[in-house]
Amino acid sequence: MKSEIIFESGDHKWVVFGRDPQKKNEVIDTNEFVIINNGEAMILDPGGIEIFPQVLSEITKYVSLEQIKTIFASHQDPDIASSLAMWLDLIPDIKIYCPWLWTGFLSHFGMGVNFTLNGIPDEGMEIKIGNQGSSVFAVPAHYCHSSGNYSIYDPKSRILFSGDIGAALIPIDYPLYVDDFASHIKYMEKFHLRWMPSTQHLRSWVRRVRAINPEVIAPQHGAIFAGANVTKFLDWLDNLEVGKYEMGAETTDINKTIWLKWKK
Amino acid sequence: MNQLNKFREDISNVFKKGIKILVLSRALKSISLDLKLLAVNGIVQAGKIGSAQGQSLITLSGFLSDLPIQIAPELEDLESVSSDLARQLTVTSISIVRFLFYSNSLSSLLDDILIANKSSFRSTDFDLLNTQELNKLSKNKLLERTNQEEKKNIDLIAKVNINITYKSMDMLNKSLDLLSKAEQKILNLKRNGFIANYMGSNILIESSYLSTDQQSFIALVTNIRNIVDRLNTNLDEMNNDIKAAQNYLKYIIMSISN
Repeated sequence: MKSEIIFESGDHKWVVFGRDPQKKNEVIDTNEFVIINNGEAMILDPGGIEIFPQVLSEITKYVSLEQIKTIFASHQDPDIASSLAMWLDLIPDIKIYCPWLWTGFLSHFGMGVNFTLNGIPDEGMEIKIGNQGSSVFAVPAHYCHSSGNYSIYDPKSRILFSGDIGAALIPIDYPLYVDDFASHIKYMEKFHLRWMPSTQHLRSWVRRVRAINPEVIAPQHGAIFAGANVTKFLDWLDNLEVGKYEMGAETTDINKTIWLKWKK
Repeated sequence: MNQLNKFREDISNVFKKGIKILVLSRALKSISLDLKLLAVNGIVQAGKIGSAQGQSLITLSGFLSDLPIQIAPELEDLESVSSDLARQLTVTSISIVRFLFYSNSLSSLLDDILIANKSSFRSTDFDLLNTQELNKLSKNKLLERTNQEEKKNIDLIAKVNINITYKSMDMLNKSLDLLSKAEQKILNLKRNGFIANYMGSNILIESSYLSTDQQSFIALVTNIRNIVDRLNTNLDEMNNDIKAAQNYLKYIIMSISN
């Protein structure tokens, strides 16, 4: 697994983990982020259990495990949260924040471990990175794509962790940052059209993010948007009509022959 | 990582055996009902004869009809033990899976350190299943040049795995106990199967003196034998799976207890 510091100022640091060459092909590539502030660390979307060993060993290059105080899970998907029990078992004092909507569901990942989750209310909340020092903010991103979903904004670095918004299915050797936005669209478009169910909620998220005005938008899959690409990305989202996935008449008919088989 | 992979495979196999034992124990329920129906059928047939010979057949069929009453609780116990076993093995497997993920993390961490230290050794040179080795892992000579931070991380992961090992050991031993219980239940059931066959043979002998209705008793005894054969086939299959599961469990316990 590769890792890189994407922001560093004084005792405040952001590290990204991903582009794992060791992971199995069928496992989707994910970006995990760690914010280190004043010697304490917070993991954003820690990833699935399949990649837990790689994430753990790579994170320890930057922090001692005892320094990890908080985990944020943007939504309920297994590529985000199926490793939660492993983290809790390893560091029992760790505080896990996730959408309140999903606490009961995420507890199914418990694996016999004492599994206490802190539910984030619909309107979002301030979350402390560690026991002392800075906070980040859970920004509502409901229905983008999950019905209970948040981004994380860090005012110190002005980085917005956007979860699946801005996700792109890219080749493993793709650069960490988006270079040419126009050519990056092809990696994002299908993902958004299929996984984002609501244009209304997507527009509303874009409005919130424009108000926040981040310098960097970092998604959980794909590449990071920085500088002018942040605005280009938000503009692109503002013109995207999602939740209208249609298979086309021909495909629908073909599928009908599959899903109506039971009627014979 | 071969040692860990083998470990994972063994756990997966023992889990599958547990489920198979449960499925087989549930399949036995229909046998109990079939035996009951046959016993009732025997009494009815014998009642029709109405002679002294009929009386002895009624007595024998009465004995036979008692068997399902004895078998039913044994079958229920066996199903309950098998169900506990499947649950215990599931919990154990999850615990072992956690152990394996931590072992993989440790292995990856050690490789990173050894490569950075330009060591020719790798994580495969450590016995990460061994609690004694885990206990003193960070003090290993190969990790002499490792910084305190990294040593702390190694210690933390190793400590979690040692705890899981002790808990898993307890769970594995409980699973072994349940397998022994299931074995005992199978023995009891086999004894009842043997008695049913014996009763069948006696019914056949008694009915051979009958001038009429002999044919229906021959059919009754053939049915009894078929059912007992089915019972024995299932019980033998269960026994084989229990033996295999015991062997896997003993091997797993041995791997982590040395």
